[in-house]
Amino acid sequence: MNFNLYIEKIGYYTRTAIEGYGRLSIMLFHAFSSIRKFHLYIGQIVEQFIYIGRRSLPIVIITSVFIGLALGVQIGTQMSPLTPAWVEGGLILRSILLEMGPIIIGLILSGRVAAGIAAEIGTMKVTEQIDALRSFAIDPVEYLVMPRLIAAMFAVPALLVFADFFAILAGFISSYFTINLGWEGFLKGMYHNFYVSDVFTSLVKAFIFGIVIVIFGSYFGFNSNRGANGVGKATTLAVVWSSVDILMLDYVISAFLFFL
Amino acid sequence: MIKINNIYKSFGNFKVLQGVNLNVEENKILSVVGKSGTGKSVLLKSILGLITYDKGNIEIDGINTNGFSEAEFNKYIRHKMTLVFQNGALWDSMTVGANIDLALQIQKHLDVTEREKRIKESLEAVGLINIRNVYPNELSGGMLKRAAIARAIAMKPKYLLYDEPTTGLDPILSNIINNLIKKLNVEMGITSLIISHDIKGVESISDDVAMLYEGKIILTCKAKEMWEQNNQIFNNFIRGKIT
Repeated sequence: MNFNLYIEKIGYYTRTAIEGYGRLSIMLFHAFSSIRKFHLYIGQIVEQFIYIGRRSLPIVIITSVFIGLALGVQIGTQMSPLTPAWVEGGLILRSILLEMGPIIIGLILSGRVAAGIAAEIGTMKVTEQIDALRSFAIDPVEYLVMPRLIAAMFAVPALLVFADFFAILAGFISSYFTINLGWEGFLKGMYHNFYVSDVFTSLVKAFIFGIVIVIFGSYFGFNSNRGANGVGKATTLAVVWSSVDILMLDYVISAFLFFL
Repeated sequence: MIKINNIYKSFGNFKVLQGVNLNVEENKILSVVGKSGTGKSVLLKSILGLITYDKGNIEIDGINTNGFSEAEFNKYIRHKMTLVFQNGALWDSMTVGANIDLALQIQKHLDVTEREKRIKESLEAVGLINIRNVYPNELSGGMLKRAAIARAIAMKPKYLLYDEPTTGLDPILSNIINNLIKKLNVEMGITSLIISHDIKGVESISDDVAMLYEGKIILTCKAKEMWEQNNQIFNNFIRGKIT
């Protein structure tokens, strides 16, 4: 009896998830197909670029610095005494470029941007402002999602550049105080482990995470209902599911680019 | 002319509209009255395509909108018909002027000079020329409704739908809004469909009155003859009698 109930629940949640991803994909396609009208929304695109990019910069720098510091300590203290100290520079560089940078950016922006988008669109939905847009023949996806999508596709990779720079810098400072690794050694390690493909992978991830953050925030915002409670729920769902999808996509992109 | 033919709409098991038939004549004001929760707002939103109805059809100037896509509503209907929402539904992240400008810019593709002219004209028409740079959350209830009407009339619509335009306003503000609706009808020739509970206002500005009851229009009459009707439900409703 209980077993059947579990199977039913699994089936229900699987179907709901597939339907959700289907609707989300349709919204994404709709937003991308609206890009041809971007010239009508230059003001909104700039505004969103500032919101997603410039206003997220302080929190991105703060978190990147602490991630770099922690990496420096962890790698420095766990390396074998037989391993040359300069190797740490390369390890920090590759950890930050390939994983830590994009993941930190993705998760921080999920909390800040996806939540903000879901709350804003959700509030517009429950106060009939979305219906008002439609009543004036303004496509809500074109007006609300497309400018954010374009802004995020540029702002998130730009933020990543700052995040990587500050995390690596902090990693060096941390290594210096942990295992007394100087500039020359750190740069030597970075030089021996630098691959252009790593930078490419990092930027591709940031670009895709930008899309994920905007589309999940928008999707849950558009599907919110039942007043303030509904908006709160939409905000939570946007953060949770954009974070989960960022981590899933991080693996998929890494694996895909590894085998490419 | 708006012709509503046998419209049905349900939300799950809850039947809201159960065969609504109604005609809105050109250059006239038709008010629909009825208890709360009888589907009056659903009817308005169905006309404009914001809600998809289940059965029946709605003709606007001879165009049957049954099965219309969002793009078709945008192309054929929404450029000549706007809705004034019950709470105004002004976009709260922008000023009143920007609210009016947005629709003019995106829907009508007008140049800056023409948009400026229309913003000024519409705010003047509702008597709010000095609130152009004010945000919606700084406005009183009456100003909010008038600002919403300004946004709607800037589009120069042929049809204007009002969802409870005087609800929540004091009698003086209600009179101001009602006079404004009448003025727009007389001076600009805007055909109006009003959802209202304000019986006094309905009587003073409407040409025709209809009553929606249990999902159907049970009575349509001239506004000036509304107190002489034989329909008991309608009579009780307009007199506020508890049955």
